[in-house]
Amino acid sequence: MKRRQFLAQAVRTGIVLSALPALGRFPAQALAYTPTLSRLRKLTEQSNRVFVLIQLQGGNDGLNTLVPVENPLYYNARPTIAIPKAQTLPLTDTLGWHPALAGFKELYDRGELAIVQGVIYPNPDRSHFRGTDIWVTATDADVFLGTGWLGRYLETLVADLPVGELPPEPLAVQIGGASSLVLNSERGLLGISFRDPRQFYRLVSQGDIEFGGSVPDTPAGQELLFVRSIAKASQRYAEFVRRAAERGTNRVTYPDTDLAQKLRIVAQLISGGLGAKVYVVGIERNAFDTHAYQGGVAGVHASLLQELSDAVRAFIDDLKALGVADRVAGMTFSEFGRRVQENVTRGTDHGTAAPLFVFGTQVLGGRVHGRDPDLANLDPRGDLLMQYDYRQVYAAALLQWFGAPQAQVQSILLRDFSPLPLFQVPTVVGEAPPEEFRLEVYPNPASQVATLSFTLPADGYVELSLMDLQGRRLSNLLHGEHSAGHHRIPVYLGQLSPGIYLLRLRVGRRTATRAFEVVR
Amino acid sequence: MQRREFLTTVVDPFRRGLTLLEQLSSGKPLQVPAGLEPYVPSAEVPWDERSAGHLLRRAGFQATKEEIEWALTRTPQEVVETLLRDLPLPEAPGVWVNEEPRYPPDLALDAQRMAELQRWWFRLMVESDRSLREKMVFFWHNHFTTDKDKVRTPQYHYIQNDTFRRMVWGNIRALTRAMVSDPAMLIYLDNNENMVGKPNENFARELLELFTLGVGNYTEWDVVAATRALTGWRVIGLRSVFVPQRFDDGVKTFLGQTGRWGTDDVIRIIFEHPACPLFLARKLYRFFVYAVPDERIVGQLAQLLVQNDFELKPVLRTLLGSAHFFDPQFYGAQIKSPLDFTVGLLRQLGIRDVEAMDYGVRAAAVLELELLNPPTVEGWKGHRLWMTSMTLPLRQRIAETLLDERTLRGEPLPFRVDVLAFARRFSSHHQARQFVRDVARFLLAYPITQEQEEWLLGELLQGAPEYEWKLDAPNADARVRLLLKAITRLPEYQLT
Repeated sequence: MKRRQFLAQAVRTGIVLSALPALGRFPAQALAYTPTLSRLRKLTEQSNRVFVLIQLQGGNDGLNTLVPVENPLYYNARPTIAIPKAQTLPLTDTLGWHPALAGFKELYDRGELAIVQGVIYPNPDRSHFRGTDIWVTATDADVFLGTGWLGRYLETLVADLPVGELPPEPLAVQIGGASSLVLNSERGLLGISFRDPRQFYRLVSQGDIEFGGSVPDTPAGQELLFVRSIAKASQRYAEFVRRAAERGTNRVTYPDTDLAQKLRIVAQLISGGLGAKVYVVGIERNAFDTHAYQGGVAGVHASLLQELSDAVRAFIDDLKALGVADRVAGMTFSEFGRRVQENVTRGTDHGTAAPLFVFGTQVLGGRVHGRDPDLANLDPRGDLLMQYDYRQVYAAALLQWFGAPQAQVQSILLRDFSPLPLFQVPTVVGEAPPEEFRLEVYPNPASQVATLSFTLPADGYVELSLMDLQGRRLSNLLHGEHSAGHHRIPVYLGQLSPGIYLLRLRVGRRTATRAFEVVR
Repeated sequence: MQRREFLTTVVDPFRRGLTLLEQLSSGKPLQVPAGLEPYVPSAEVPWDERSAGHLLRRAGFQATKEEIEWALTRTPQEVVETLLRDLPLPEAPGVWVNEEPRYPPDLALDAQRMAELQRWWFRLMVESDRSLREKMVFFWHNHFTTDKDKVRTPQYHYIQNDTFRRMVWGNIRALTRAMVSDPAMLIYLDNNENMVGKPNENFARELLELFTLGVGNYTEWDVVAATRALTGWRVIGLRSVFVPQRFDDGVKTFLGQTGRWGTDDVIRIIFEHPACPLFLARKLYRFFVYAVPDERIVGQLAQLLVQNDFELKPVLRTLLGSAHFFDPQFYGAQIKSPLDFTVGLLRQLGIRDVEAMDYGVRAAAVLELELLNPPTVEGWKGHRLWMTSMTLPLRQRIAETLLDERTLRGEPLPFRVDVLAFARRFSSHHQARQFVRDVARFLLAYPITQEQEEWLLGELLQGAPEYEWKLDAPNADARVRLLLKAITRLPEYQLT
């Protein structure tokens, strides 16, 4: 029988699931689990992808990071801190790397690092705090929002989890630093933060706590709920962190810097199988706020760049050695760049647009997006003009890296931003809502026979599989070319154990999943 | 709530003097009908251990048993008056505070003195009985920030700290003016380097953004103008001097006023701006009352500040003695800072040994508040941001190990934690259940439930029948420790 024939027949006659030999072995208990989208998303190919956000606190000086070596305006504006062309590492005909960025150069040359020039937003704010808030909340300069862009993304992964219930695994981990708004969602901070995983799980109190009952809706009651939620999250996630830290390892030696040690922990936790999708690290304490004596080839700024570049190189090398590099990417960001003109104290004041870096083996690397900074056309304060909105980078991360659907990305970023081509798109682009293909199971719950139906907008390759909640494929119900239109397939559930199952439809590069329950 | 709706409800928190994270991580504003009229004890809001404890905990670093007992023999207004009384200045940590800075600096010596200064200050907090002063000195440290990474000469930190204490509830305009020429501040925000023709706008920007007006109340051009007007200052030795040759005496337009402005004019113009009293009032409100400001009360406090020409003491007197402050909704509605936690723990347990001060400084630092070392010029943002999945377990473990007379690392402490002496301060110490209730009420700003009381009683009795409990029984010491560990492990212990 040819495949098309088989398919046609299956569609006509239905599929008898009792013929599946393996099913009886799964205990019903393991399957009787609340179906959550987060659980489902873990199953899609791109779902084990991890994103690492590196914050450079204080406002990194872009012009001394990627040096416009052929531009006399640069050298005129920076009599004491400019990097002489001969000292830079070659990048393009007109740009040179700061000599401390040998690590970045190597990644770039290997195609594992991309550069985006001139990133900021319209009407830039030169306050550290407001500027950082804008970057992490992904809003316009005059819009105030209390949730972070990654928090809003992660929230979509647990959309059907009751409010107040913790996700089964930590969705995000911040290593060191004060809690970042970037992970804040309308459900609160989605993630945990610690400096050292071993210290974290050893600390989490051995003693039990009588938490008391419900609390009144008073300010103190709300604060108490907040502290309790932290206490419970710590207790719950400490065990995950312990297992990941014990299983995980590192295969390269990292530099002995703060950032490198944080990234070392990230690699360890990823290799140990922690399910977090986002890691947040940074060089803290406003270190990049180089108002005075920032140095040139050497000095304060140079050593910060060195810390950054050496740490990221070690991280990627480690991820490769650990065999997990293809599912990790990341980016740097800083609240603003610095003024073109150096100040009297051989430093630079707060500015605007600056380059940022995107890194990882699955990054479309070895490219510079955007032109060299235009030092002849500055804003009235003497600052660089914007080339790209920072949300074009976020859109790329959400769409290309995480495979989030377009509509969702638009909702996360509040508007549509055209993504820059920065990441390799995974084979399966994204989980479509079941409505997209009108994927239905009727009745649901079902006991003996259920009818599966779906609609194809166009002819295409279709795969329909039955899975358990652990993501194991139990059966391939359909696979092959299928014509446009509405399709109905009766399925005989036969001896399938009672419990919850997932039906996954894959059409081209889109998938849709529906949960259904079998009862007796 | 939909995201779009959410977006529109959060309107310009900066004008309220809050960063987004502070605002959003701290819940909704309160509707408390009581205003700034004086608090009069009533059946609904009696003057008792809870209300007196509320005042003392907020005005100091938690309360001692003696303080609460004393307060209950006075009226609330008498207590506020005592908290605001002027005290003699403490003796300096050493004669070195008057020593001219050495060049090149002796790094080891400076580090040792910096630590000495931290211990000295921490001790002032621990010993601060019936006084608001040290809490307010910390307020100013967190407002006019300086850190020891950038300002490496301990003398400068002492000078600034001493200024805070001298001017603690004096005139805020005068204090702000003093900060312009404060050596630590001049170095920390680079105004030391700001000179005619070669501006450095670091200080001018933070003066407007973080110290007086808040974002949105000035333009980039005001930053430029203020930067020029604030030129001329240099740090020389232990003092600052004004060097006319470095001053930009040209005409500037600052906040709409044009003239050949200098430092005093900048300060005068800022304090004429209506945003300034509001900005300061909000910060005071958040520090003493609740993380989300009540704009009605903030407006009244701002008006009071203006009426009193920015003298702080009358404003503090009104706020801390007000019916609004004493509304029971606020009891326990703040999250303890690491200082409330560490200084408070030592004070509650009656530990004042000199050796405990170093321990306290380190414990607060582990909890992310090292004195003289704020994370950024914005200071510690506080409230819910103190609580993370790391710092909460750390706090629980710090209390637990302290009660075992050990450091976090498990080494023996150089001082004793006399829990029997602690217990004896409670007249109920021979009646197990009442004792548990009294200790919980003393240590917690938030009432415990019946189940929690049973659980705590179980921790104390360890299976023994209630009637057998005696403080002089063998093992009573260990059992009191178990009780205190259980109480400090409760999420409720993090509230104040």
